[in-house]
Amino acid sequence: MRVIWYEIRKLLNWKVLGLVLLISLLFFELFLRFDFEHFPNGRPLGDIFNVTKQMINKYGQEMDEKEFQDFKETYKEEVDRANAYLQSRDDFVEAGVTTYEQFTNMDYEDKVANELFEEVMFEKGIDVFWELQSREVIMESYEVRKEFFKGETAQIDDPEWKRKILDGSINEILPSFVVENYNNLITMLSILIILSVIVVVSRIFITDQRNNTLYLQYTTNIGRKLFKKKLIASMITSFLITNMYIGAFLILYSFNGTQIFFESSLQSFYANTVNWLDITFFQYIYITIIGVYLLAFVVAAIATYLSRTVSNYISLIGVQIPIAVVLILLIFEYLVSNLFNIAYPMYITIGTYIGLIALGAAILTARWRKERKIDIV
Amino acid sequence: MIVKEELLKLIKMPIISIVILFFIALNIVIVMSNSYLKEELSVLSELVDTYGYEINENMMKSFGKDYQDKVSWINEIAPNEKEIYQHPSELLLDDSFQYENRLNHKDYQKLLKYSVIENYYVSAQEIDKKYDSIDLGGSAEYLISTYGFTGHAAEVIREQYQKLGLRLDELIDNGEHKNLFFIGKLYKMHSFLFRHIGMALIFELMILVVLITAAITNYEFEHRTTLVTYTTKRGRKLIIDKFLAAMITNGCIMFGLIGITLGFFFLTYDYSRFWNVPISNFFNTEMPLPYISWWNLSFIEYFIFFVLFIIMSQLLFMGISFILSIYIKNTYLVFFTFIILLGLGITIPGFVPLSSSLVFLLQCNPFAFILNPHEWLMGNGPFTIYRYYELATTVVWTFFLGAVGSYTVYRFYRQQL
Repeated sequence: MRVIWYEIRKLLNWKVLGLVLLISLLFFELFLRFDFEHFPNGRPLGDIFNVTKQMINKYGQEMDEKEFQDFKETYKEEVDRANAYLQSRDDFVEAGVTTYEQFTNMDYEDKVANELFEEVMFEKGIDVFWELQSREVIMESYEVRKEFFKGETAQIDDPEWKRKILDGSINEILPSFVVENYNNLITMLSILIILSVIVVVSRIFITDQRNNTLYLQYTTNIGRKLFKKKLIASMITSFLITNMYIGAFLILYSFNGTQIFFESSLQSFYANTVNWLDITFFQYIYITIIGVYLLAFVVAAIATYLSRTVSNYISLIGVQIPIAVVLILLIFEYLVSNLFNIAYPMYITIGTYIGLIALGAAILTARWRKERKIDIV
Repeated sequence: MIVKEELLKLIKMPIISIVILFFIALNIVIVMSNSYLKEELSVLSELVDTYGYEINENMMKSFGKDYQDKVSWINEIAPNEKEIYQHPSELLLDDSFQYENRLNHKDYQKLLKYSVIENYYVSAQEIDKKYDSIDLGGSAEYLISTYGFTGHAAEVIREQYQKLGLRLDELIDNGEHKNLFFIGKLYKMHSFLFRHIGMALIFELMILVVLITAAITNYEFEHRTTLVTYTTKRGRKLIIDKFLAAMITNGCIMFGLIGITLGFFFLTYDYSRFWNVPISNFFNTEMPLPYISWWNLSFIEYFIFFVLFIIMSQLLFMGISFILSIYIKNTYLVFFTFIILLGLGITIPGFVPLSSSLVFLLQCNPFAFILNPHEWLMGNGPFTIYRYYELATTVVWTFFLGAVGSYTVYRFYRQQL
């Protein structure tokens, strides 16, 4: 145990930690901050976000046809509020616009009408008009949901899941931009994690090798078993690093205020895409995080293997560049982002994960076999 | 021939060629990603063969005459005889035509081709109107409000846009805008070549250049031969040989990777008729505002400058990693320190309040320089709007790195190892 602890300490020395911390801060600034700070991004997304939250408080995670009628009623009440506002304003009355319907049908080529519209929507930003617009968006996607998802089911195998979509009983409330925002964040985070793991874990053998301490280590009592201990150390380190990032991420993500949607199924009537599995948003978060851990372990395994087999730093970095590029491209395609989306067959996703894990296990076992009898001089 | 020995050290690293091969493969995939456009792009080549690329009255007359023939052909083949179509696309969009497609394959292809020609013909007629309606003052205000410039910085933007206005008048006088080129709004060939492929090249070369420079400079420290090599008669002067060796290798790699990638690009997409088309032509427009280059450059001239700037930026990166290597003496750390510098160069300008003109000054660093290669020499980017931005950035940094580099070498000569 003590050796493992020493190895971990060697990997996480302050120089490397400082380096990784700096890289992470810059990475955060460039690729992550925007999705934390600007969520939901502007209007009407912010208004839709608020309306859907109100909906969940009122109807629960699902909105059935009956509740939809109630939703329409609320819409009418809001229209009355908008009408009252329009009638209270002299300039609108003068322009002959006294109802919300007239307001939406205004001729925007007309200069006066355009100015009035700009003033209400942008300069003053009167909430009720934005809210009405959001409600319209929600109502529309609820009404067309059956038609919308019908075409997408052709590829789905699971009969029960398929039937559910075809029935049109997709009543879950979850705006698609909430999932997209999470997708963006977890994608960039997973890239940051695998890069950090590569930076830290790659040094596990090569530093000793370059100092020629490997010869000393292999003549001690522990001897070649050190390979296994170092392997455990690098796995623990990558686990620690991933934990740290995921922890920080979850804390920051909790400020995005999407907790209310966690119990909603990913397949909401407001979704843009169809998934292979019928899972809730919370389960989706779980699965993606598991995916990130698996990727971190695979990367750590490859880095450990390469660190032992490669003889200098330039090769160590050079070999891992193609690996990192390919992994990052796959992460963007289906490994983390849009996990289990029907854009890719499910067996490709699962197959890639299994393949990666098998690859990691295979190279390490092969190396351990070789390590037992290799001549070190 | 110590440089030769140093070169041998680099050539013996197989990893360099592996990474180069990987990047070549990657670039070929990127280049091929637009190959589905090839057929549509070739329509323009035919047009240029018949009419030339310059748009003038004579050309428009004969173009228009031929176009009318095409339209009458369309009306001949149209299944619905009551309607009279003005343009090929009207027939294509006609629902009754879509549902009961009675054309044979050959005619249908011809129809599609004519609808592409229509795009060029119709837009060519609108050029004057479009350029009359360009309101650079309005664009400046729009830019200022979207990015949130205030105070002095906003003044700078307005001033630069006024200068750009003069250039726009000159451009219109020269007739640079009246030339046929691939329609930017549809095909985005300018950003495909100069942005996507350009960025890929720049980052790939950056990785290679930094690794190679660091590896050769740190070679003695990493192979524990410092005490031997640096105590010989040549001694510390070896660092100059190393610099030369890195320079030669990087030069070859740049030549190879840029040559193969762009060679492949031009083999895939036929640009042979467009070398002399001014880059600021109307058809190249991708954004609401057309590309306005600060000088009257043809496509090939712009392209040469583009390659030149890529090489210049790589030389700057080489200088930076050479200096870092002398101080840090470890390839692994040099590589990641360089990445941190890259990140800093990109993020730091973002922390400056958008009211001071310091924003523009801080953008003049080699890392911010490479972010928008498709806007080099153009008056389109808000932060790089100065006419001499590219020139000033590269020249000033060359001198700056030259000075720091010579001091570093001077110090290295006297340093305890």
